[in-house]
Amino acid sequence: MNKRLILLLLLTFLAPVQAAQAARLIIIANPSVVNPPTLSLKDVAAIYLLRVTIWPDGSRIVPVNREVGSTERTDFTAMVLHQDFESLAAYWNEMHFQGKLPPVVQESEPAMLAFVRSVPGAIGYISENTPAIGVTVLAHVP
Amino acid sequence: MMGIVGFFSRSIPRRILASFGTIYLVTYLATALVVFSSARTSILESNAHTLQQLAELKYDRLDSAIETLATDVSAWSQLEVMNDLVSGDLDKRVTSTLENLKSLYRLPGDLYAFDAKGKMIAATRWPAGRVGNTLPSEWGISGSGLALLGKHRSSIENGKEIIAIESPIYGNFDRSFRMGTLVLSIPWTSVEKLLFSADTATILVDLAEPRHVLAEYPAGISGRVDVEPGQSTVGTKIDEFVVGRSTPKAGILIGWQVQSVQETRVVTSSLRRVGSELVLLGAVLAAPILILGRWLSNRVTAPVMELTRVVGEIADTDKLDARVPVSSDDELGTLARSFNRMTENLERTTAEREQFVRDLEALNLTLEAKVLARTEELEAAIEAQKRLIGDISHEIKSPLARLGVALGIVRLKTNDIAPKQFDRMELEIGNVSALASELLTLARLDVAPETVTFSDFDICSLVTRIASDAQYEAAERKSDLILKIPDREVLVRGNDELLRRAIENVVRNAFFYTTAGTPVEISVSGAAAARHAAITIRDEGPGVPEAALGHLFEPFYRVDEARARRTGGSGVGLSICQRVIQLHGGSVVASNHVPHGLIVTITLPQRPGPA
Repeated sequence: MNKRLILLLLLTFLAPVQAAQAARLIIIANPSVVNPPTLSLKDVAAIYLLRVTIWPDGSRIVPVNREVGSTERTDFTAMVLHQDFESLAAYWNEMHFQGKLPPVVQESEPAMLAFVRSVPGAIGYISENTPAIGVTVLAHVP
Repeated sequence: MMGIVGFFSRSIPRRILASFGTIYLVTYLATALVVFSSARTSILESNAHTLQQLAELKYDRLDSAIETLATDVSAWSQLEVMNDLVSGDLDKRVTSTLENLKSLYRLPGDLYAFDAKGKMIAATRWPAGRVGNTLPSEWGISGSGLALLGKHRSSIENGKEIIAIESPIYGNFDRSFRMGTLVLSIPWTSVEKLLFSADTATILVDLAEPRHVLAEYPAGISGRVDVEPGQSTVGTKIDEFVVGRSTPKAGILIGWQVQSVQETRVVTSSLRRVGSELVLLGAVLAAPILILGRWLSNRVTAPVMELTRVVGEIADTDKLDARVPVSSDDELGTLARSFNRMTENLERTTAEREQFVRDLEALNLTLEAKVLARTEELEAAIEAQKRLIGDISHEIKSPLARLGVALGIVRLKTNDIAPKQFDRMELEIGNVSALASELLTLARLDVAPETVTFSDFDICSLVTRIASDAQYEAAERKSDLILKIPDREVLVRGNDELLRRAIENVVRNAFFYTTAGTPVEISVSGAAAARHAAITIRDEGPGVPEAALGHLFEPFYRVDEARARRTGGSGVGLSICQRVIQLHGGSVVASNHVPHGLIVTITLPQRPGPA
């Protein structure tokens, strides 16, 4: 738990730096995520790689991906996870043996928005051109 | 019926045959009944068991089908695509998935996906004009597990009868996050299709209270069958129906029971064939048994029949030479031998008896001839004797007469020197002469009765004369005589001299055997219309012993020898009297007078008197 707190503090500290960059994607979360911290892209990457699974308030984090092949997914993988698909596939193969599956997939912007809006603790990403209605914006990429 | 009984009771072989037949019939009927009853029980039990197995099979098939669907629904609810329920299935991925599933699994009903709030998100069939439907109240939001919603009418399927399998949908990102509900509707017709078969009646019962029938085929069958499960779940036999019931089991169909029903009539239809086969078998078996029975009865009774025939022959023809053939060493053989022996004995005895009878007849003839000859000899001898007596009497009378004359001359010449002796001699000569005279009379009556002459005369005047003579002879007893004569003539036909001597003899006897002062009554009776006249001489003397009464009329019979000698009399008087009366067609009877005395009654045929 101490390590997680330190990580969160670190993320909070790093956030203003990233927000200053030109953003093409925005990281959104369910409004239930109270006192949303400013997340760095590393924090986001850690969440999407299931290294961080719990919000500071103790609630479960539900990361949501777009489908493979979508522009948003490609951009997100490149800009946030900084990995190609091969290494990611290898990573998830390894995680599969630990009983962990990749995040839930939603195949459209509205679906992503609707899911994040509906599921407590959910976190997702949308194009910055899409109005983030009913969700909390946690970060911008890049 | 009586005719049949009579027909069989008239002959032993028929009776044996009837007994054979009856024993066979009773035994076969009892056996057939047991076999038939066992077959029926067996068929019913076997059928009940089969029906139970059928019910189990149907239940298992239904259970398996619904269980499979339930497993499928449960699996489908965990598909990742169900996550889209959260986003309202914006991409229609859930809808397309449900449609694919329906198509792939050839589902008879429809799939419906509702979100956590009960809003219908996806379905393989949307209720017409009711877009945005919510979870119907009959489905509700069930618990956290899979549920089978029993037979009911669905509001979103236009009131169609269905069952439904309902599964909650949880997010696969968070198993505690309920995303919604997945419902599979199964039309009731599909359930019935799984259950029903044309050959057997089937009833599906929900045992949960209140117990009710869910489905039945054919319609109305449940009303005729007791659908209560009863004590045993093994097929219960009811009079009209045989029912097999599935065993209640835990599972998705808990509380449901399948009952397979068949009419007892149908089940036991094969029994009719068994029955006709039993009858046929009975008939087929009866023929050889009756033939065997007839042969046996004939064989057993043949000796008896032969014996009967021979006995009948003997009875009809009296021929005792008939014999029964001895064909065996058993009791019947012994009977035949004994009968033959008896017949032989009888034949011998009969022959002996016939010989004896013949001998007896011959002897009889000889005897008769001898008796005849002897009788003739005897009659000749008697005749000769009578004639001899007559001759002697006749021959004696003349010398006696001459002796009497000579004695008179001697008496005169000797001047009656010894008068007493002369008197005695004359008396004895007189007696002998009288005896000879009477014997001569008796002999004449026996030998030549035809010489006696008859005439009609009045017996009363004859009796009066006799009485008067008697009074003259015994003057001292004149007053003792009582004469009773009717005041009219009593005519009889006869010889008056002979009758006079006969009656006089009786009257004289009455005086001889009574003392002075003892009355002697002579009476004549003879009514004008009477056929007989009776002359009765009654005295009150000593009478005679009863034993002597029958001998009084025998010649020379004397009741009291000493007294007879003293009173005199030849001893043939009464014999002559009887002979005379008999000669006249009458009778003379002596009887004792009470208290004492003798009565002699002379009866003579009476001649009709002058009018």
